[in-house]
Amino acid sequence: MLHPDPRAYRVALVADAIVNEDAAPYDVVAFLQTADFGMVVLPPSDFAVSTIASIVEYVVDDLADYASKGYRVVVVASSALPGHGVWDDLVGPEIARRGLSPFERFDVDGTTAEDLVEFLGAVVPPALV
Amino acid sequence: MEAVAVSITSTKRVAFVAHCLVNQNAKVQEFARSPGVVPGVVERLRKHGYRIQQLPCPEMAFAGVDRWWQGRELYDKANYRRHCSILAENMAAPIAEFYRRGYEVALIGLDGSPSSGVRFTGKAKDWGGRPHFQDGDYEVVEGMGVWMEELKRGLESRGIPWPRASGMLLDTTDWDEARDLPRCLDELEEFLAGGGLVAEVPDVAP
Repeated sequence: MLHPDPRAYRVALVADAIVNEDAAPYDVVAFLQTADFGMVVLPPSDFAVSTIASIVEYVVDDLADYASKGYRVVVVASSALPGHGVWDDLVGPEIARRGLSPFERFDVDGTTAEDLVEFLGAVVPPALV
Repeated sequence: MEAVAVSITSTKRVAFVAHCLVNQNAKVQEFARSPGVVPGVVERLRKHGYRIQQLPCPEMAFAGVDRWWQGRELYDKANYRRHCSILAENMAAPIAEFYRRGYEVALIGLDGSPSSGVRFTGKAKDWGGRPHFQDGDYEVVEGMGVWMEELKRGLESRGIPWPRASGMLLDTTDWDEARDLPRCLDELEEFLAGGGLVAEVPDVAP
């Protein structure tokens, strides 16, 4: 092996408004970093569908590939945002079209940072078991 | 960790970052530098008032997370360029939309990468066929990776200016985090302080 590879096999699809605005009452990105998650961020929810529909397809391809290789894939979203901030109306059908089960999900609305920390730490990625 | 509210400067800046800078899981095996997000990147982007937008990883989308290493020579093929060209077409719309909304637009690539390098890319003239590696095989040289070339071409062909762009030099074969990461972050900080490009673009990209 050339280098030890420190990846944590943890990936989170996160709402743009959570990463870039104050859609969550706490700093989700900081907690994701502490819990060793990498992030996947789609464009803002108020963009025209035509600007992102084609992007969603390969994002879901990536997430499906991670899941099939034992990475833990989660969605961190907000029920207070259109499409939960993660373009659910596009992402959901793409997941279903591949015959996949929905990814684990955390809704920041009405939750605390402690809830998020518990969620992020609750499952060990299958690749690391 | 303290549960603090998000504090983001509200300047109209956006940075399109190489996918792996905030998701190291996309890296080819043995080239991840950190567990998830490259330390210090988000903090510096926020400090300088940038929204974070993520470019696709064309290698991941082309050959998956378990792909083997390739140098620029192996990616510099018509089919891979066609794949990158499609991704560039997909990214043109959101990049153009940020320009239209009056944002300063910047782009941070992954220097040393055969695909995502902006200032430096990586050549490996002896790679091919049965995978093997010897010290010195992978050479970081000046120039863009294949994905960045196609993204630049795809934007400019639609009348969308190439953002102010730089890269973080993480793709080296002698990476030492303690030695190299502080220098990379200092360079990033200096680049981000200079802002992005502001431009008017057509309402509908041709």
